[in-house]
Amino acid sequence: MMKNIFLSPLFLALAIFNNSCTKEGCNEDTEVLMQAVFYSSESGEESSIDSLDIYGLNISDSVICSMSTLKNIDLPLNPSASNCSFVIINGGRADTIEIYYESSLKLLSSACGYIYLHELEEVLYTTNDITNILITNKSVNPVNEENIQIFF
Amino acid sequence: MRRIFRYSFSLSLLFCSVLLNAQEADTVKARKSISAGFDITGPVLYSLDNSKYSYEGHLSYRLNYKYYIVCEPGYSAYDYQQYNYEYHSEGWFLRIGTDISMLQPVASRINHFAGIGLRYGLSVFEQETPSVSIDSYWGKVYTSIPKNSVHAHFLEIQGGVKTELTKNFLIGWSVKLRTLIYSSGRNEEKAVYIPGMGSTDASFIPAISYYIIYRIPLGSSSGE
Repeated sequence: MMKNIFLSPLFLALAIFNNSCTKEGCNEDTEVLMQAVFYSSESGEESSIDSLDIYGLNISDSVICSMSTLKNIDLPLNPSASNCSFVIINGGRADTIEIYYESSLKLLSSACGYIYLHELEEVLYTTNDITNILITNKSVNPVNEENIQIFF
Repeated sequence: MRRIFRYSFSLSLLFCSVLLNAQEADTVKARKSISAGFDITGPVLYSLDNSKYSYEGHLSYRLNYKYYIVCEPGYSAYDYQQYNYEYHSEGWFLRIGTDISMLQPVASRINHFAGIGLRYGLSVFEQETPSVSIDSYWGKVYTSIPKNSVHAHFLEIQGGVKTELTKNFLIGWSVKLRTLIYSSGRNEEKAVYIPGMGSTDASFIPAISYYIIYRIPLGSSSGE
């Protein structure tokens, strides 16, 4: 009886263990984006901006959005630098925002690999259309939360 | 998959409870003994998948028919590579704890074991990530994480069976669940694989061991 008890669960467990050894694919979002929310400088409330064009400075052939009406935008920070800039064009008026931050690597999971997290330090901007920018959450991470407020 | 593993874990304990129900009158005293053996799962799995090798010993001291003190030292190395990173870890681990037999102290079963085990584990190892590549809007980023030392603490519960094939020569298996309680590696130094414990992806990590053990009886027998 001991041999039967010894053998039968063993085969079952070995079969299960073999199957469970296979690494599953990555099911998590590996993009880490800074969320910028648009506000009206008159009312102080969230507002939609029409006809927006946004692209990274010196990467004009790779737009982030084009002729879009948006309440917010997710902007990718440059992991290999400590700052990056974006051009925001609203109805023909262009502004440049320059973001300074610290980046750090983090293991997301064995299936997904590593991601960069960022801590915002400072945001500089031109004022052709933008009136103010506030940092509301310095941590840029996979949790989709507001990081900066852009007032028009 | 995790649910299936829990069911099989319960199944192994069910077999133990079946053994408890058989009542025999010829109770005997268990001799104190020291057992030494090794887990053959590591070398077998290495022959199937070269990414990981693990050598693990099994030492136990039988206090009486019910309780055993157990020590499981080992060494493990792990290599993993996928499209966006490479990873390597290797180091020593030690698990100590107790095995609790659910068998009655009757003559037909005194040299067998079926029960549960509880372990505390410590792993001290080195790891490195020689290459990481991350796609971004600004272009592909290449980096690496240099070799760093980590220590980790974990707990394990297991259910298993050991049976005496010939005099003092046993073979056995156990199915295990482990959980990490502390690791010194943070953020980029978070371990992908902890020697002696396994992958860090899940809160509870399943494992299986298959033992070959030699028992050395000691002096006088021990009562309940």
